Amino acid sequence: MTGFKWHWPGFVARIQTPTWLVYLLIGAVTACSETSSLDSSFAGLGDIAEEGFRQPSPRDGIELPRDMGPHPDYRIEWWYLTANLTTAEGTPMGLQWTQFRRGLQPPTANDPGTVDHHWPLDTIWMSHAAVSFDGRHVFEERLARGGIGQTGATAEPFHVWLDDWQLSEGQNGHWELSAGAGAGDWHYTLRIRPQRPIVRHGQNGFSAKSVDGQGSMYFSFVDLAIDGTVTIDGQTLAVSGQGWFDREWSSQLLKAEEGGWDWLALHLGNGDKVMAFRLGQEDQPFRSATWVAANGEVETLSANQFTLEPLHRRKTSAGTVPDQWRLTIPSKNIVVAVTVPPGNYWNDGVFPYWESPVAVSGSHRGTGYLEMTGYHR
Amino acid sequence: MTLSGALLSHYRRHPLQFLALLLILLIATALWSGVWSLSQQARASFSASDAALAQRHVVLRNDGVPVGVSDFVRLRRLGVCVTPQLVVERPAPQGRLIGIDAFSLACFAAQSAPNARAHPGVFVDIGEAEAIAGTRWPTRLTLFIDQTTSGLPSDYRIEQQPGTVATEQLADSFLLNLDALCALVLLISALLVRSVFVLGMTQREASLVLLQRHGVTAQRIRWHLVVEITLFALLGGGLGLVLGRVLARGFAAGFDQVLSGLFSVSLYTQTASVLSWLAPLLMLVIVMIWAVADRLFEHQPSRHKPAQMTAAWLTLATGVGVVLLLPSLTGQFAGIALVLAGYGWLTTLNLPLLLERLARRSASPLLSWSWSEVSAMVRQLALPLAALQFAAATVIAVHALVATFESTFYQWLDQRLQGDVYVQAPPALERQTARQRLASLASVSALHSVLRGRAQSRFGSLDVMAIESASPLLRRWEFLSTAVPGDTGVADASAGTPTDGDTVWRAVAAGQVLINEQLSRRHGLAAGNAITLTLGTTTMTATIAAVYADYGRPAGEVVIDQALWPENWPYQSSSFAVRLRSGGVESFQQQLAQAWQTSDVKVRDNEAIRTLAVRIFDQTFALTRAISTMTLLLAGVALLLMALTLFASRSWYYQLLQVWGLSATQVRGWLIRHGLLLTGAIALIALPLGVFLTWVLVARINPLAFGWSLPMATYPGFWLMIVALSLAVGLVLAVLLAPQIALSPASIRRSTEPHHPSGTGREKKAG
Repeated sequence: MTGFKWHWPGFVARIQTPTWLVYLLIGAVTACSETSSLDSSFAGLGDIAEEGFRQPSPRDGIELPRDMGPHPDYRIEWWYLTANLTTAEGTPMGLQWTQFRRGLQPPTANDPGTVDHHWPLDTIWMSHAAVSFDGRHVFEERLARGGIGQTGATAEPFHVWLDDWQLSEGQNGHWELSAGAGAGDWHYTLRIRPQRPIVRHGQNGFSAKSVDGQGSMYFSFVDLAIDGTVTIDGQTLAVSGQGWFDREWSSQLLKAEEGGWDWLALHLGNGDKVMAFRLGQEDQPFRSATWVAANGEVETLSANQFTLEPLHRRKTSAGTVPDQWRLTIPSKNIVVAVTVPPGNYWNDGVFPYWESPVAVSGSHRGTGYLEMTGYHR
Repeated sequence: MTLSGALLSHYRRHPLQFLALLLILLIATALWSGVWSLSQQARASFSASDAALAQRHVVLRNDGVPVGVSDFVRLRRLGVCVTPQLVVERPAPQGRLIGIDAFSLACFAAQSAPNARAHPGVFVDIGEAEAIAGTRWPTRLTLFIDQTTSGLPSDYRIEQQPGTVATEQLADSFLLNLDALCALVLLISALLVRSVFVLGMTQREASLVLLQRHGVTAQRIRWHLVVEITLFALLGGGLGLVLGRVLARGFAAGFDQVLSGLFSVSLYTQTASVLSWLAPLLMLVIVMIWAVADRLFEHQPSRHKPAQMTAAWLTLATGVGVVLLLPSLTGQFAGIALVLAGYGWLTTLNLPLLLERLARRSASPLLSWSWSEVSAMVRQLALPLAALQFAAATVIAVHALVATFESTFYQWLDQRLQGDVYVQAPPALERQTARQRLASLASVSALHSVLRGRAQSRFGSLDVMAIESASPLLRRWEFLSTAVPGDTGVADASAGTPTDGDTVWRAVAAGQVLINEQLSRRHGLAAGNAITLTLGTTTMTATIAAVYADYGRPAGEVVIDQALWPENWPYQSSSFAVRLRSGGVESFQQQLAQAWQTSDVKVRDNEAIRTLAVRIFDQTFALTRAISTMTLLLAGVALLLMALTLFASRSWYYQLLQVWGLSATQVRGWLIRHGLLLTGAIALIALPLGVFLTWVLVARINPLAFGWSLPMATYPGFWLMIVALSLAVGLVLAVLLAPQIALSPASIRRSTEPHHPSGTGREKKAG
């Protein structure tokens, strides 16, 4: 899925330069989102990607609980949750939590482990949390180095954390998630219950990302029952609804620089689920989708089996973004419009991207999430 | 020929005047804008790091164990906003390396993040710093905390970053110093420009009248002259600004060292904006126009001597009155300006009168001519001479201030840096136990324990320092004033001898207290008064035994004997000053770590601190001295240029002496005598002004600005130097003028015919 993560390594490449450190020190964080430096860092990635990291392939397969944990042999990965919730009054609320891992160098056999004076810089972790509610969008970003315990992930018990943000396995197989912007500001605490087994995208979990066969390992929990509390604007709200959870890892960082990324995950009213993405250039993007029936049947859709086109664009403070899409899957009789509610949904972190809840209308009704990169100016 | 052409043709006939005006403007602007640019940069650097310095708080473990990676991780996992900094002390030339973790900085409010500019050193990732340090160099890990975060576990505490002395006041004093110098250079430039311009106007009076007769209105001429002086200011000033930048860049390295050493602030060069160029230039143009305004708009300067004399005396008296009576900084500066103006005015009015009286009394015609010749020179060179006088007085005052501050500061350093090393007591160990173990070390010859806390009083909260008044390490303290019989304090040359100090310390041991000068001045407390303090729940009233100097501290402080420290009152810090018997600091540190059973022993080598402080102050003062000396040089050069220009109208008289039969060597001798007399007299007259300025600086401005005064001291040795320097200017003047009076036999013949040198009063009357 989802383009922002492909871009991320570009930002990380610059983390190692002292200039960047100084920029961050003096608070000029925004200066780091210049796309020119991103492009230049992408240029060299093809070479680095071959150095010591494993490449994903359909033969890898996906196995639980192992693959809920980290994959240090691969360069990048993420744990990613989106939720379409409603408050007790029925007001819709969108919610996101994502944690990324980026290996700077492959793990070595003689890793010293955590030592009380050791500050390794082998991996960088980044965590994002956002809430979209009542036309407002709040976002918070955390960064940390791996290898000292400040951040990390384990498969058993399932636990992903950075500072005091964490997603962990609680009693009865439920997950618990808490994140936010610190005391006095907004934060959320959720209980998450997977309702269906995982869905393996693409070929046995190998999801192609280009025509020449590059891709990532990708699986999802497409149906999560969620309830909990969200504190925002000084009020604590009880919320409930459904969510979508992605796990994805790879070492290949492909032609992402060539254009935007558009990704969406939809919960349709009849219980069907759809994940669709397109990446690359506007005139000939690479497209792929997964259709999941309410009964658990899964079908990978190639570019000629569905269409995904922008219908309408919205002018925002940071660029024009498509805010309405038409998705058609003729074989499933799906012809829907996917619409972003009013508002500004930029996740304004070190690398800004668009992340918004969406409403589905047309042949089917429903909700979902839309992520777009490459539109930020 | 156009009007502009006609007006400017004056400079074609007097190219030297054109060059003199331009050169004075150029040098003055360079000096002034250079200093101004530095002080602007310093100000920006200060304000940039102010917030960071004020907000630097660190997390410490209550058990005294140094913080490590696990502490950082634990606190971050609890949601506490902390960020690590690993300082690697590498020896020169590599220098200090600072490792930071950029990832954990985001939670700091932008202005309170530990600021790169606030710490001199090279920044790298903390992992890289650790790898570079390895086991080769000592490292120090600090966890900075955003003070606004809550939820710190009870086994940690927050402390103000140690070593952040309250430097704002020192910084203010430093900048004030620079600003005052800027203003002075500007004033002197204005005087010099005025003198050159007034000279030109006098010379051009005839041609201006001629222009008016041809129908050019006075209004138009005036307008052209304003344009002319503006063009001069722009041309000379523009070039001067460029030179000023070069000058500032030249000073910047030393200046940066001063700032970083003294205030932990790095000078960062601002990009030169259009405004930063335009502002000084505009200011220069305004000052120039102001300097010549009266000559432009009032055709004839007032010739009414008695009225001028009264006005000059009134100006001087008002200035002195303001300085004595107005307790505000602005008032002091205004007063100084008035005193300078009045004094300079009186000098230029009275010096010629005095010389003329001498001329009248001289029996010998040659001597009589000589006095009146110098008198004429003084009249013509009044303004550059006043500028030289101001510059000399300022140099004298700055020197006295610097020299006094230097010696006072060193004395104060000696009294504060007692013993050889200074050790912070371990928080985990009971204080008496720590003291006993420290005292039992073989390498310790004497020690002295210091407790610090904050007491309440009717003057607000005060710092309290509790000492062991019997300690031999306190014998070097000196006092500004004492109330103890038989002890006359520092004003007495014998102050500081053991007997005197002992008396005060005995009084402290008996329950009296000491207060710092700031507290004394701010609340009018003197030795012998009583002060009531509340230490925790205990309230006590004690007699003030003495007042001591305490430079750089903004707050009031009280020194008490440790016997007065209430049993149940917690201290903020506990430390020991230690005199070592033998062995180095390192072996002492090892022994102490063993005795105190902690690796976290913070030992400060007092000699190293003293050396550093002395070096830093030397640099600071070197800069101040350089600027004031350059001002003096500027005034000297300007005087030379002016004299060269003006002498054209006087050389005829010297040539006449040769016609009368004096040899060329004899005439040169007279010329040298006149030059020496002129500048020597100015230097001598500048001395009282210099002493007065010194007094205003140390006794009026310093206490008003910073709460502490300096003892008034004069340095006659330096006066001699200034007089010698002025005499040297006079000598150079005579040597440069000598070619103008050399005569060929033919010209001697010609000179006996009637002659009307240009630019004299006679010509004006004729016009």
